[in-house]
Amino acid sequence: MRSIILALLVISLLPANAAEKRRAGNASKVPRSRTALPTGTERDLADALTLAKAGRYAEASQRLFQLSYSPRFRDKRMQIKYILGMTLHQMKLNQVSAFQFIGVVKEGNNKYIKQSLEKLSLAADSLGDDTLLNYAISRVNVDEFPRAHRDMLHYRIGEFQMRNKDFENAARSFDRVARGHNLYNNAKYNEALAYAESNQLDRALATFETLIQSRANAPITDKTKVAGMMGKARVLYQKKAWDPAIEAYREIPRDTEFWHDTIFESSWAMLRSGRFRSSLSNFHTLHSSFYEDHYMPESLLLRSIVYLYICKYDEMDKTLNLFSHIYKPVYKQIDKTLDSVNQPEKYFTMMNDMMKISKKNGDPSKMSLPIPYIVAQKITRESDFQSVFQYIRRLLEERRRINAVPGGWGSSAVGLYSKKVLATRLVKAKQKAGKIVRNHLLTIKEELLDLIEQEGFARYEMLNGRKETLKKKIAGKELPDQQVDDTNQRDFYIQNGYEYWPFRGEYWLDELGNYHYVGTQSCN
Amino acid sequence: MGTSKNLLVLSLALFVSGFGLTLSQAASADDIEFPEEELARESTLPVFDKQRAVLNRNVITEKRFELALGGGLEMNEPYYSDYMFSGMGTYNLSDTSAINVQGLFWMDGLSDYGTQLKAGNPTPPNAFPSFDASKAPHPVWAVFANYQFIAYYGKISVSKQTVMNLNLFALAGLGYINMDSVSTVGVNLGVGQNFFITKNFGIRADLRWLIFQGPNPPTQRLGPTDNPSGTAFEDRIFYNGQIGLALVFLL
Repeated sequence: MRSIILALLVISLLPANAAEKRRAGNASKVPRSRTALPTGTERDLADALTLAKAGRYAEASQRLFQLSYSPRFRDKRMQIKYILGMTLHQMKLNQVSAFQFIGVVKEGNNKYIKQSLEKLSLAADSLGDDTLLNYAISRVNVDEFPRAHRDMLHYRIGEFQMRNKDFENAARSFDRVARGHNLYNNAKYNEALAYAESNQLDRALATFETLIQSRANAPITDKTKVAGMMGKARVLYQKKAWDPAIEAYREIPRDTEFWHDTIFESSWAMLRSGRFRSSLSNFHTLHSSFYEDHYMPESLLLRSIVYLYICKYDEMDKTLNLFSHIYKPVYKQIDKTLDSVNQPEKYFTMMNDMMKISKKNGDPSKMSLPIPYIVAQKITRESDFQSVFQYIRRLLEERRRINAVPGGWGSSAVGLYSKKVLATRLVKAKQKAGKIVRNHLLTIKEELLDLIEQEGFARYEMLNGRKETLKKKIAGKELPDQQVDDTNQRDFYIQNGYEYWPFRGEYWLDELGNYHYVGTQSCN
Repeated sequence: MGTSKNLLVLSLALFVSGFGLTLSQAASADDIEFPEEELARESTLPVFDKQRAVLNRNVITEKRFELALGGGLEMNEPYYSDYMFSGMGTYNLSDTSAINVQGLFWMDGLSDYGTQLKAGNPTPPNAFPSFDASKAPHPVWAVFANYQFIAYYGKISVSKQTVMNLNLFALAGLGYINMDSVSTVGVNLGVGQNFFITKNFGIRADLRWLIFQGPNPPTQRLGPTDNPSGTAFEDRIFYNGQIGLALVFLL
């Protein structure tokens, strides 16, 4: 398809050459010296176009790049730049081609602006670069955009609107993505999210339901379907429909990455609906060794507060100590790093180093890193960081692609130019990623400060509770010593074919999510 | 989701409203029953970047020595005593591999069948001459160096109140077998299981096959007056199956 478009473009340029040829033919009657120069000029361009038409993009791009700077082609510069962009796009050099299209758009006042914007949007879509997308989207007219790519444009516009917190319009844009398009699922999910953000919870629920139904025949662990189910559970929580929310969380299959989030989120719902025992059962999973690399300070405080409700002050003390033991050093380390590191790219380097260690099957959790491992892990999962990180990866891939083009393309003028463009973009992208990391660190620092303060309050409540218990003890109002449900009859637990195991400190993968708190309350 | 900022506000509000108290009373019942929907209903495993079956193991074997003392039984020995003692030293290189040195000491004497053969039967029609297998060279002690592969670490619930950890292993090695007047080398193959009663103590049960070439007693007359030398016997390959049981101490 792209080759055809390119061929058509080439043909569209050729009549001009042919006309010049005709003029040259007519001019054959005039002295030869007047026709010699135009013929050479035409040949250069015609040769470049022939190469492009033949699919020899590397050679064509070299010629076109030279011609785009030649004063002989001042009048056709925008055409040449556009075709050069197309050839580079064919070579999958999206970033470099995008620069050609931007050049055409910026120059203005030429008939290639519309096509360039269209191609720029496609290149930006492939790169996933927000800056380029915003640039293209803000100038493009949707109705003039080719129908084939209009869904993509609606989707990207929706994303742009979401980033600007224009949720109503974002939902509308996402809704315009046609069913069957490869962005349909993402669009539906984002549409529901936009409704939820704008507090239209019933519409959000209905949209998540549509998404789930559209994937009815997909496997049970289908990522889109599960994302929809998760969204539905979250909206139910937002609606304060605790029990339906808990049930919706339970529907998330255990062998999906979303399941981990359900443990904490459903614990909140359980707490809000007063199901303390259930929430403590969940916390047992959540605070197992399997999650020791996960950043979740809030869950520890939440657990301590449930213990406060049931007067389990010793357990509460242990939980608060665990919070202090893990998160106070984390806070100090973040504070130190934020104070000592100012250059954004250094933050990116720190994250990148951590990810490299992790990828090589090393264990960064046991290393002393400037950004604590649990925090770095959390940041790597953030969508804004992921977006820039993926952009950087695509730039690196593009650089590798340039080096792999045969025939010394990389050391040609266009090759050197491309490398320079990529080098600049890489620096900028790394700076952007670094800024994102720094911003997250600032947010986390603030959040931790707040939570540390709350830990202090919780300790105060704990001491208060202990004091009251002692008072009652002195007054002779003691509880029996029973601290756990010590009945030997455990048949209840195995009625569904599973077996009851007393917990002895070991955490087994197959037991996660199946722990049951059997402690009794100690309030008197 | 609930933000950290509203955490205490929310929880304290619930507490003040008496919400907590109501549930505390409900929780004080002796027989705890969980709602049906909270019981396990999936047999699939959660997904992690690094998939590990168990964490915070009760019994840590990695980089630790294991000493074992026990006994065993020959399963297919016709002439000699079936009983034996064993002593073992194992160094666990990791959770899954170990180097093991095994010493085996066979008890002296003949089996019931060997004793009958020694006594002979002069009475026809089932008459047969005396055959004293103890005069033939036979394994007295042996020492084997083995590589042990620990394939599995798990747990079993013997009763509903106790849990015992176990590991399952296979081993293979080479060793020296002393047969009094002669000696030979042998191959040791085995599978076994450690049942850990505590974090440092357990029982080791294993099934071994000793394969070695040695003197074959029936190839010589072994009557009361016969005294053939150890080298006079023809050789054959023995496949001795053994069951072992030992007490294991993790150091």
